[in-house]
Amino acid sequence: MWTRWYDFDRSFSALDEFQRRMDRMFGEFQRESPRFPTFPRANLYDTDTAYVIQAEMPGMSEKDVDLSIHQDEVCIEGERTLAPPTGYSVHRQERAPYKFSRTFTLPEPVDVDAATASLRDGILVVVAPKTAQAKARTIEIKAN
Amino acid sequence: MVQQSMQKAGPTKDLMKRETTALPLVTVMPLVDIFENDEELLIVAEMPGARRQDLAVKFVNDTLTLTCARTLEKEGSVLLGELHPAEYNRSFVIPRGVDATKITAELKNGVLNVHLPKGEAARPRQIEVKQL
Repeated sequence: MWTRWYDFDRSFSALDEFQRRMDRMFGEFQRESPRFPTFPRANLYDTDTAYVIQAEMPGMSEKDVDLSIHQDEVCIEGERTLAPPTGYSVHRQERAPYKFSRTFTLPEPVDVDAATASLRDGILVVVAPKTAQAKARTIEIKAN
Repeated sequence: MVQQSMQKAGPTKDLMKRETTALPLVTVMPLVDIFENDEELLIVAEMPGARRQDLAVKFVNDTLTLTCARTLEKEGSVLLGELHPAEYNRSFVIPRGVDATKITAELKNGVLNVHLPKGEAARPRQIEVKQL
């Protein structure tokens, strides 16, 4: 009987797994609640020499974004104002103005002075180089 | 035998080569604002990461289609992944009266503006009333 029950239970866990996978597939563009969307959506990469953040900032120029790095915290703040162009009537408005602040905590403090950032095609890219101690090293293995 | 039959069916060879571990490309409907004045319709579409060379704006049979494949440079290992390579795609049925030959589009900071100028017939006119 227990075996049967286990089979029964397990079939649900398969369903759960299926749902998790589907959520992962479709989740990216619907995960956030419509009232409080995560903004900006971002990627964080760990390369051997640096941490790289990519963040979506459509319609924003470098003047609209403030970036600060304190030890291991990267903070992106800014505001996007939207005004319909003058003299036009509005048929449809899906884009929204944003005032945002998002902080990324990196796994370790980074070299703040060497950090760079660029904003191109609506994507902000922040490169925060690792400190010398944190960089990956290859250690030679000696034979006895 | 199986190999022979697979060779006959040409396109399946490409399917075999496809990387199964790669993320499937997500199709995204870009958010748009639509404005109008006496001269033109203006469509403003939000496409972060869109590059000019990847963007296609087509006008066929009164339908305007915006498509763009967004690629992202992947570097090192992923600690947080909220963005993926994606394909923007959205179509609009444009009312008659738009002069299709004069449609222009510009891309700035990941936002696409498409200007659809109205033809002469669709522009507002003041009609003079005659005194009889």
